[in-house]
Amino acid sequence: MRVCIIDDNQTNLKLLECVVREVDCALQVDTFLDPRVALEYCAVSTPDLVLVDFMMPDIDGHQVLRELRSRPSTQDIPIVMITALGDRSIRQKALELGATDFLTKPIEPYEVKARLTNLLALRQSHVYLQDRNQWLADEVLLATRTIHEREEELIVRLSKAAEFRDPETGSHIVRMAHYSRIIAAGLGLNEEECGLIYRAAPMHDVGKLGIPDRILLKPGPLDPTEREIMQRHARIGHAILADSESALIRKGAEIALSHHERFDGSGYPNGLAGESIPLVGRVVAVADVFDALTSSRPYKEAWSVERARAYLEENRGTHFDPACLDVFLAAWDEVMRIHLRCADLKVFPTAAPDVATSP
Amino acid sequence: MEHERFPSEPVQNEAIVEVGRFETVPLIDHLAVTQLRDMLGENAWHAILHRFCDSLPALLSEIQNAESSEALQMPAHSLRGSAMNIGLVQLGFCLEQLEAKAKAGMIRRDLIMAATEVATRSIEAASKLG
Repeated sequence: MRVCIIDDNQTNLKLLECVVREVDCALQVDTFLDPRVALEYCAVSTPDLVLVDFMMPDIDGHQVLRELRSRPSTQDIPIVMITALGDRSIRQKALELGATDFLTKPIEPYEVKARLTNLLALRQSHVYLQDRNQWLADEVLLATRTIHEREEELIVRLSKAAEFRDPETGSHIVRMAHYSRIIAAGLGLNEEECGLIYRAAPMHDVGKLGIPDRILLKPGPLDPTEREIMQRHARIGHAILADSESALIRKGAEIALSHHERFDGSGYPNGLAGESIPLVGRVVAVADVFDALTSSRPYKEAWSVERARAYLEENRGTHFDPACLDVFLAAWDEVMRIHLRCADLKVFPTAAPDVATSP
Repeated sequence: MEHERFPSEPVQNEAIVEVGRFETVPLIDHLAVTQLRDMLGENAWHAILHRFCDSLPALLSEIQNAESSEALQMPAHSLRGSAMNIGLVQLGFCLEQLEAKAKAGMIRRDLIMAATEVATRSIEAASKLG
């Protein structure tokens, strides 16, 4: 620990230095005749205790105190002011300026030693607690980040597993996640909710893991029985993801279950209508359908964006929630950027999208 | 404003009575010096005394050459404080009076001369302490 002593008198400086060394010979003691030099020094190297004489030429103890307290690094270190006996108004002012304690001249060496010992012990505990708090905060942050990373990795791998069995490509997942985020942001959801939807949207079709290949990979249109089986992927996805401790995976479950509902109640699996459909389901429905239409599939060519846009507008209020659709179309330039930029991507979204922040 | 360690009462014949008063104080406060030496050890005590002797000529000459009572206050205060801190109480008391007079706008040549003389005697006495 470092002790800084400021006194314009050589003898006092030496005397105080000797007393401080008696407190603990391992202390680093820095002595200053000129308070201006002391202030410069304290700005570079933070002391653990400052002893300052009140009456000095040019800069007095109050000014030193005011300056040290105005700096973050010396805001809460102990500062002891040395005054003549009975300088009541000087002491009062010093207290207002944040003095920790006083010493009276002529100094009583035993009293000085006892007080400095106490103040340094307090300072040491303070520093220790501060370090410990910082250490704990860092550890918690690190652990939380690791958990989030693992969670996201798990989702990516799960979505990848579904992708292996699905003709839909990885870039579909990337694009529809971006579109979902654009809609969420357009609806005015906060940063955290938008991020959650963005990261959960890739899980919407994990239920396809439970659909037989002959149906999933069938190049032509499905018959009614096959369609009924295909539609089970919503409930299967929900069953895979439901009841998680993780808010992100729960959000994925909600999306998996509700992204095929239609605004007029004609969707599946529950035939929900309007606002009974979870908001994320209504958001993802627009994003998913738009991207499916503009992508090529074994059984169909990719639609032009104009045709897909016209389809969405025709189904405003029947298939799609008008609010979600309107904000999606309002962000058309951004939608087009993603449509083009993510055309051939084979990666999954793991971090916040950079496109969402660009104008 | 300051409540002094040796409060001076209002007196009629200041020059005579004040000079008489600081001389009634012992040259050295032996109890204070013993305490310092016990606690800090002989080496530290001598180092402190040396430091006092080294800085004395500059402070005394500042006091002697002060051209105004304002210019006198700071060196008188500084030397008074350090003298008191190391138990040279007669010198401290003498300077205390000098400082008080300077604050009242006076330069007391007699007290300056007395301080110079007491300083010399105090150092001699302190150096001879066993």
